Amino acid sequence: MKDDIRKLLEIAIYAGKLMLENGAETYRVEETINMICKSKGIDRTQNFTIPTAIFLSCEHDGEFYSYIERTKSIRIDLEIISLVNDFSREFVNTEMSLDTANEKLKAIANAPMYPPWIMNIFGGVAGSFFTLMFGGNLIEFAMAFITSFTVVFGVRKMGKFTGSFFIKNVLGGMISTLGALCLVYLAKDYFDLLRVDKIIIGSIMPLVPGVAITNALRDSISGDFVSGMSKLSEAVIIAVAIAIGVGAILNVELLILGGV
Amino acid sequence: MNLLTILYAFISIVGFAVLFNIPRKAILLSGIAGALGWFVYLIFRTSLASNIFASFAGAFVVGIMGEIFARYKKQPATIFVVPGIIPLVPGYGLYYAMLKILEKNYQEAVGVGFEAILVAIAIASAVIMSTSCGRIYRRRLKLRTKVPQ
Repeated sequence: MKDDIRKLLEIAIYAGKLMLENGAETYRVEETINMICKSKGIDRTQNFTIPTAIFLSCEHDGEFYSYIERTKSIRIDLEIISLVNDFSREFVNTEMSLDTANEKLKAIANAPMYPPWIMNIFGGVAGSFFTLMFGGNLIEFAMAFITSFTVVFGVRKMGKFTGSFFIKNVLGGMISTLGALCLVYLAKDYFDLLRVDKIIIGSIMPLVPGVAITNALRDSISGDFVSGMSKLSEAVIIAVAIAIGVGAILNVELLILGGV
Repeated sequence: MNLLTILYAFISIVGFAVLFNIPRKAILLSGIAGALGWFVYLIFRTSLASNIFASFAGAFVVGIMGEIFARYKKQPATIFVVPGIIPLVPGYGLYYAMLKILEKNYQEAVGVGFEAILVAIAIASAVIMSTSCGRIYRRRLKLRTKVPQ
């Protein structure tokens, strides 16, 4: 019995961790964990989730159990959220055994992503169409595609060497500015009226923390103030990082070449 | 009002949807939700000249569309909403404010940064309101099916 409860709590924590690390809202994580615990008749559960940790403590038959799980990765993977959502619904409504549940969660954690080259291309599409939305012309659009493709590709490659999201975003800002400047200097003689800032805007779009800041305020408005503040500081730090990357390269360019 | 930007918004949402690894069957729907939201945003921005209220209206439409698609596809609404609000979110504003701070142009930084925060609050509250609408609707549906038994 004790063993079963321990396993159940591990499953609940694992499901919560998968959701949290892939960008789910705090209330969704807490609801999922509570639902999984309640469905198998745990007497009392309390759980507290913030973006960097999950705390879960339960009482059953006079015994106390408590778990703390530290969580780390910051990324958005909506497929995993959707899969865990389906899983928790199935787990609650059917008599799934605890071992199968564990297997299923492990399979979800390894759910296939899109292949890297598709992600890079669509990253390029996402950024370059923002350039058009901000009023860029077709040549700037093509350049923004190249730079945002490089940014998405470069940031993913860098991510393998450094775990720090700060450094990754500084590098992302640098790559986008460097790419935009190089392309503009190369094509300056053939086309007139190329605006570097339009290209930079588009190519940093895959990095800027727009969704992060909105999610932060969503958490705050629903009453999860600690999560909200924590996500807000993440968004601000990402914005600082990108601005440092872009600003550094722009300053170097000003120093060496004196502007476009 | 440039209607071509609706198409651009749709395509860039699809791009972001792939970056966020959303389930394949949800890609086009999230693009549609986002493009509609952007359309509403354009209408309100040109008629009211208020960026913040327009963002609220656009995000609310995205949220409602997300709830509808969520019922239709049996997926959580977030999957449609997160890529859908991409054209509205003030990521660029936040970055621009930081760039201005690094350039020691504090006055402009405060202005742009504050508007970015307000837009984010508007979008967040619109999404929460649409989620609540979805919840109320679901609860009423449940009550109606339970009563006759």
